[in-house]
Amino acid sequence: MSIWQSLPEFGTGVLYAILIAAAYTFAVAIASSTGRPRLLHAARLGAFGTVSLVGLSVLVLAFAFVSHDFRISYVARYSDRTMTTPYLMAALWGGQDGSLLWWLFLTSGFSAGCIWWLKRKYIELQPYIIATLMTIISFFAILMIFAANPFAVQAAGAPIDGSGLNYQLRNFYMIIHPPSLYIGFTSSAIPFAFAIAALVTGRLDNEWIVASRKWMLFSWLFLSIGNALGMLWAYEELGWGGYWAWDPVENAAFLPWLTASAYVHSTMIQERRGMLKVWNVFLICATFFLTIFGTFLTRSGLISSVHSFANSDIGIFFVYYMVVIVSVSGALIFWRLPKLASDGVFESVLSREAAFVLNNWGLLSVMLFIATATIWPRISEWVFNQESTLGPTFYNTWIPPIALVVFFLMGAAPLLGWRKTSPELFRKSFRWPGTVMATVAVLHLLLGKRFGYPAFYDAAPIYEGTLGNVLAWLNGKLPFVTVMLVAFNIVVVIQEFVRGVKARQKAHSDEGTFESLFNLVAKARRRYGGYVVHVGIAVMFLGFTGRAWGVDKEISLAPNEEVQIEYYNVKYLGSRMEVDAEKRMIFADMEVTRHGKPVGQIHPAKFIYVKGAEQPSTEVAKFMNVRDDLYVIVGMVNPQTKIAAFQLHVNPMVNLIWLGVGILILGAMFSLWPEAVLEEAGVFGYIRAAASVAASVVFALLLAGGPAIAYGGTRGHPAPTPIESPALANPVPNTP
Amino acid sequence: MKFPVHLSNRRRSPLHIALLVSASLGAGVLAIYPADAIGQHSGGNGTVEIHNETERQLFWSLICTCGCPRETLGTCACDIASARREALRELLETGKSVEQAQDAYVSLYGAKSLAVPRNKGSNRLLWVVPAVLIVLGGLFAVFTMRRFQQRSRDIDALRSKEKPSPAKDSSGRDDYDDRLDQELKDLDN
Repeated sequence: MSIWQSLPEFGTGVLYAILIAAAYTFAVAIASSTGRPRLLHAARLGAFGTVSLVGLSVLVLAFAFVSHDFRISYVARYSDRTMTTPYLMAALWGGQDGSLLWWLFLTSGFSAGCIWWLKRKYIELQPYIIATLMTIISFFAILMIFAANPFAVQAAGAPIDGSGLNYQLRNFYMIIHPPSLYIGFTSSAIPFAFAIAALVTGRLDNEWIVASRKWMLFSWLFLSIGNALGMLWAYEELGWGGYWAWDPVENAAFLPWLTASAYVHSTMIQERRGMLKVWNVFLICATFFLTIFGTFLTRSGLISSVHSFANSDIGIFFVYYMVVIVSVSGALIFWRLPKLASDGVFESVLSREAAFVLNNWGLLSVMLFIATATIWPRISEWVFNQESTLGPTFYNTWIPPIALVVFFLMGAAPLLGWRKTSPELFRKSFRWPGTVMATVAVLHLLLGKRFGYPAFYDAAPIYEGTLGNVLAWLNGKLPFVTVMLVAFNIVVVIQEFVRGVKARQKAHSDEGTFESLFNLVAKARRRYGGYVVHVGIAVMFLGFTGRAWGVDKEISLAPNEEVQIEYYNVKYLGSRMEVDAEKRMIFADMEVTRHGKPVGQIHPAKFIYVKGAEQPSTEVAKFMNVRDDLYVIVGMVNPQTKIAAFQLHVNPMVNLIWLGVGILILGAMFSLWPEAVLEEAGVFGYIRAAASVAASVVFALLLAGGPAIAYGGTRGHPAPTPIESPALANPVPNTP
Repeated sequence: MKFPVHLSNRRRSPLHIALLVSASLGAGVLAIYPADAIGQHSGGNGTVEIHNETERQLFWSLICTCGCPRETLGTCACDIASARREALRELLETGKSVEQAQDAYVSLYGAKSLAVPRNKGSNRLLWVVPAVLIVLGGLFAVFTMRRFQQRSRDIDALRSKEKPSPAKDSSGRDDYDDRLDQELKDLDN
């Protein structure tokens, strides 16, 4: 019997091999901590061997998908013969068992990268770093062997065809969103391994913090990208006009982002002042814990969610693992408290250290609030025997006021000096940002309404009584406060750049402005990259605020009827049907006029898949521009009269969110870019910097233009003449 | 074969007319709403219909009972949600307030059909617990900073006793210049 005939058994065998290799490597790594270099070398080789086995298991599963090996239950459940290769690859992480293998694969990839990079660095820490990474790999191997084996076979034998991937997952963003998020999740294992190694060895100086900081920044970047792509997916595919519904799984991905954001700021205090050591170790452990907690939420079925995988027995494995993480991390931190004592002191409340501490407090407050609300339905049921649900309204009311405090601190911190800020410096630093913020506030109050962006709106109370009224009053003022703080934050960053350039020109009088700017950023990439990230976040906040000014309309239209929404006039031309191998597509062709000028056609649609025809998917059509999106959803189309029901949304400033994400990625890449003095690197340095910018721009364009590729190019091209026959009356038979 | 007298043509006419009228009405209804006849659809039109802000407030505060997790009536486009919205709309039209309409919905589908639990009893803990923890965290942060600040003052006092203060810089430089120079010196690694 060849290996291909026994592919499922071979795959399962590889999982066992991973577990054995990881356990061996763990033991050798611990043994090498006694100072035996040969054992450390053996542990490194063992780690590479383990990682190779993980790679092999992924290849086996990928081969099973492309060869349609429906003997394997996972392959049969998440693919079919009509699926194209990119979606077959996406099916690797489309279901529970495969996504765990994918998780293991990425963790292994980062482990290998980290161990390769370590070489002769951090020799004392290496044994424990390797051992910690191997425990993580072992956990996922155990999970798959005993509870979620992606190579498990069908009891009834191989079906002729598989069930196919859920249609909502057949989206361009679903090909790139889970990998991005998983990269963010899994790469947080590296700083965690560093933290555990530093705690065990007692080497708690700044050395390990410097090493783990870049890994955490990398993790943070991909968590940001993953969350942004998730928002885009929701906006494109779910068809309710929004992008973030505070679903438990969205929250689970957001929680580690918050603690990672806190860490990338507080680590600066430890590097500069030798303070907050306990806090930083706690944040690293908390970030890793939250990635596991998020996976537990998604996969245990504990909280009902649109994203959750099928209920299974793997939840209890995660509970055990989380208990291990908390108890080991907690015990080690407690043990090392004397060595984690602060070296420095706070000299003034008006200092950057103090602002960072408050900023951390704000980020953790948001995290705490979201975490409590996410698990509240279960707490309520278990403790009070009372079923409850928390919809997005709750979060939308409570979270923004807290988030805006953090947003203000984000702008204020760079204006304060390290150690202390004299009253004179304080006035000097705040003069321009404060002036511009006040000017924008006045302009918003005076002109906002005229341009369709009123400063205040009437928010509906979520509770009866005083609390509800206070929250509604507060929320009604949020657009005004947000716009003010956006102006404040952006001016702060501009001011920092201007001051930096001026100071540099004072020291290097021969430099031109752009040269000074370039050299300034090149020499302090982390700092100025961070400022660019701040601009990205400020732009995103402006985009979030746009929802307050949104307009919605629902209407049924007969062919050639028109509807007016804001300054858009939309004419419904008629419906048409197209068919491909996997679905029927019913399009509604609509002509859009903006301010009386024709701007083109859009084509909202319903896709009816061969598999899952009872649940047609909603394909949103958008007319995008910087000011707003015209977002159109088609509901039912009457097959006789062709009267169609439409839902129209005008979403002001929503595209600023995606623009902000692009800026954020650009800033984070500046910060992460490997160190090199551009003056020394010469032309090559400029090329690398240009490549960084180009990569970000391409990524941003990909974000915006990607869906057209996924939808087979139907969008953006002239639509065929509407078919005269009824759209739904005579459907083409479903042939694969 | 002859029909009995009571089923003669003259006596059957009203029955025929009634049947014909019923059939015509039925055919008319099905012609207007053909989707019902082919069992595709039980109401709604696949979109979310919201007529005014009161409806928006009400629909976003209630969870659809169709089985989709956490979908509010403000976003769920299913037929069940459509029927629920229509029923609630009728309640609002009879003069019921948003709270009264919510109560009616909760009495039918239970407390978990509310998107935001009522601010009563143990539900208050939902915001009280994180709020208390946030305040305690803030107090802890302030307390820690003050403690560190006090230590800093003690160190300064000790230093000032040990050596005299340096002469004031007479070059016109201010704190800002010092800060900027320092920051540019130790630019991030």
